[in-house]
Amino acid sequence: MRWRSFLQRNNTKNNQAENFSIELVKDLNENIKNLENLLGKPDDLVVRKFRVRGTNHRCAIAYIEGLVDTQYIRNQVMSHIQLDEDLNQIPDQKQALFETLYEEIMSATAVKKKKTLDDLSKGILSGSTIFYLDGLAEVFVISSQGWEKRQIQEPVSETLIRGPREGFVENIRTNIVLIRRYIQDPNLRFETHKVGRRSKKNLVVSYVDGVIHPDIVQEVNRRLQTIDMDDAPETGFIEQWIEDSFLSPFPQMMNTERPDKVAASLLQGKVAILLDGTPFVLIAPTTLGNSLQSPEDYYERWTVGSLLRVLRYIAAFIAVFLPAVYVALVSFHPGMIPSDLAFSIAASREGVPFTPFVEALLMSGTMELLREAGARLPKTIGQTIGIVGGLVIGDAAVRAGVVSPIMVIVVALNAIASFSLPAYSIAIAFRIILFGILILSGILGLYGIILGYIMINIHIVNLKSIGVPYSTPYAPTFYRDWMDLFVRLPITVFTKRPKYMKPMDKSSANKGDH
Amino acid sequence: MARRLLSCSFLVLTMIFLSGCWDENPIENFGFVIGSALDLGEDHSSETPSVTLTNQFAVPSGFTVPSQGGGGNQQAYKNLSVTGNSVFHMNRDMSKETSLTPIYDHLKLIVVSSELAQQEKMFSSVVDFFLRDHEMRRGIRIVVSESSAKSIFDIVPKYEKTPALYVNSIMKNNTKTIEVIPSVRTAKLHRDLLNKSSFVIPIVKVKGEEIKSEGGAIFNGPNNKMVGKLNAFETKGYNLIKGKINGGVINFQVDDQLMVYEIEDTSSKVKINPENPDQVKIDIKIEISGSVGEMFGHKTLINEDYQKEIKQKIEESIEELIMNVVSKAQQEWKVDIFGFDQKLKSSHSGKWRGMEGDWNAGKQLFTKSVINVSSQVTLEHIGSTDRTKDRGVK
Repeated sequence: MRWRSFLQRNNTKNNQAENFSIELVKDLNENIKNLENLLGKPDDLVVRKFRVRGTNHRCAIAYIEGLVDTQYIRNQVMSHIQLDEDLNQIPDQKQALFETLYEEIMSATAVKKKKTLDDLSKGILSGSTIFYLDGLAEVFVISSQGWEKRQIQEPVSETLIRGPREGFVENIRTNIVLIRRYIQDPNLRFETHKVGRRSKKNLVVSYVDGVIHPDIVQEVNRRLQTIDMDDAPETGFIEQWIEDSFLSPFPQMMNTERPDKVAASLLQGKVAILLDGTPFVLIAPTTLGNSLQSPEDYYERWTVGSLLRVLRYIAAFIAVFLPAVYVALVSFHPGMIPSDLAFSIAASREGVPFTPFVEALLMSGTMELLREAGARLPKTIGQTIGIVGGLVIGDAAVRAGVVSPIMVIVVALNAIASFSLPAYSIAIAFRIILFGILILSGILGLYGIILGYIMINIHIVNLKSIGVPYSTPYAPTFYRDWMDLFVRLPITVFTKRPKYMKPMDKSSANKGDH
Repeated sequence: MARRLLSCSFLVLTMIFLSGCWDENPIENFGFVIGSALDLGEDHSSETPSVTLTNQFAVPSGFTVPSQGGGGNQQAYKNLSVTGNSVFHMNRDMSKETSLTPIYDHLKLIVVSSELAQQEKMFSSVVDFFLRDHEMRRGIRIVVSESSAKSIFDIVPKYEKTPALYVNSIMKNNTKTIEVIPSVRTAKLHRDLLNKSSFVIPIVKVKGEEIKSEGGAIFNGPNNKMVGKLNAFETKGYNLIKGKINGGVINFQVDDQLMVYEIEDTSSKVKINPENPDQVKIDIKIEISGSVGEMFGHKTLINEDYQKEIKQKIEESIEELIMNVVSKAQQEWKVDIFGFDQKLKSSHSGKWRGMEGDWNAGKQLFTKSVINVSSQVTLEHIGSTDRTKDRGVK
């Protein structure tokens, strides 16, 4: 199997990024020159040389403009060293001075002592400020990150009618805080990985120790350690690197912008993977059933939640099968349509130049074009697409006799059903499958649809997400978990965590019967 | 290896794509047969009499409401007639005369002319195709026409799109009366044909520009031929014995004034005692509940004695209705159309085996059986009001 080895990942770590474990020297100017050379003398590197107040000790700070909160540096570092009147007992000896600065004078909270150029460059690039003291081969790396951030806003891609309005932002620290505010449990863990040969981004794996099955954490960490690429701009890169099957149309990890959704998943015994620079957080493992759940199912009363669930399952079937079933019935099995409907379909199709199959492909393809065009255009122009699409496709095409009106209804219903699914990634997956099923039904009729359905099922039961079967709790069957599957039973019934996740702590609530 | 894989997958794909689509035919290319009418043909030269088959095709564009005004009142059907010996052959011949492929999935109605039905053994032969063919549903309604079957399909219906659907909905909607035979579907017909039972099929006739369902055609089981007709009066009795009624009225006279009893629910129980095969005892017990629908007199009905009298009158008229049809069946048509044979078969199978051949035919044991009728009428209510007029002048 040559192609398999071709596709297999090369797991050997081959880090080509340079390693500057060069020791610092004692001379201040030399040190600064080295730093400038390393970074290529950038414009935004700020170096400020000065003296400790009332002494001859030369020192300097260096930082990259824009990454640093200058207000903080001035208040917590500069003002003490330059302005404090009562700097009386400044030792003459360099090393002693260095210690005094660290122990007594500097009031910045996160200060580290470093000795290599490598540590120094990492620090300055991540927004720290470097404090040099002339005559010492050691520096302070002061955490002073303070760049422009987006405010916490309502998530754009997942809107709810009822539920928290907070969404993740690009800053990973803010995101961690958001999760911490939901789960104030000492067992909440955040494990940090560095991702990207050159980007060196922070990636944080979050889970609740004592709830999650340890094998899942271990497996996720193992897979994350294999990541070796220049940059991971989005969690999508991480997802594609560590997912179980890259040939599957189904998303094996969920992504979300909602901290409430992440918190709920963590408490079910799943891990969340956060990456610096993106508001999308991965949730793994994920099952097919999870993809059809929305946080709102739980926020509304259980009758409403159950109704929405049932509706969503119907929508999922419509999104995958409706055009295919229409094509099969109209071109292979006209006897299966109720008589009156059959006559009216036949009448509406008179004079249409295409076979139902070609018509369906054409219309579904057009639908994809419209959807893509609408998503890419700026919001103000985006609405035009809807109007143009609706008018041109819906009305003019029918009047011109290019497509039958019933086909327009079928495709529109199909599109609406696929948009009503809570996760964009699963909706897109279903649209891919739709075309496969459509082609099968165009060739083999209902028989083809059934073949396709069986194939999808075979694939789903084989698929795993971080080792958890994608089809669970349908198969492997955990009947207890079915109470949160097709319907959503009252909250008081959910006293146990989902069994299919094999949580360490099984109980999640106590209704008070003992 | 890769080449082998490629050639294998090529073969598999070829298999699918070459054999695929063989049934593919868009819906607008089909001619939907919605009704079939069978008449006796003109040609009597060959041994089996020739048959004329008239198929009614739906014309889909006639079914839609024109979207923009305009007098697009297109006829929603098209009749095609072919004459021949084999119904199957004639159906296939039909394709020569139309541009559309005939399909029978939506066939709703079969009309057989009484002339054809009266021919010896012809009936089961002409309906054979409709029971045997794989495209046929088991729920096709079957009727007998008094005049030629084709004439039923030539009526221009006022409220329905095509004559076949018109007759079909007449058959579907006749639940509020006991003067018509309940519709017969091919599944039930098939059972009766296999059991060699006698059966009744509703009759339709052309009345001006309308079609009317009235009475039933009586078929003799063993020789499979129409032997007589039930009129409206006899149909009432027939339906009462069958007991599948949830509506209908019975007229009777009380104090020389007309009164109408509305049936709401009936149940009939038939008890058969075949101790003596030459004189089978059949007891029919009918329980009816209903109300007073209309009265011409002006007596108050809130009077137990009067109600008793009314009940008795109803019982009398019911028993008269039943005895009338029973005696006609025994003496005139000499066939058991009431399904007593099925009852015998299921509850007295031992005895039945001995007399099976002699029930409708042979010794004609049915005609010799003794049939008793008893009825029990309940007056559920007397209507919304006791009286609608004053007592008048005494």
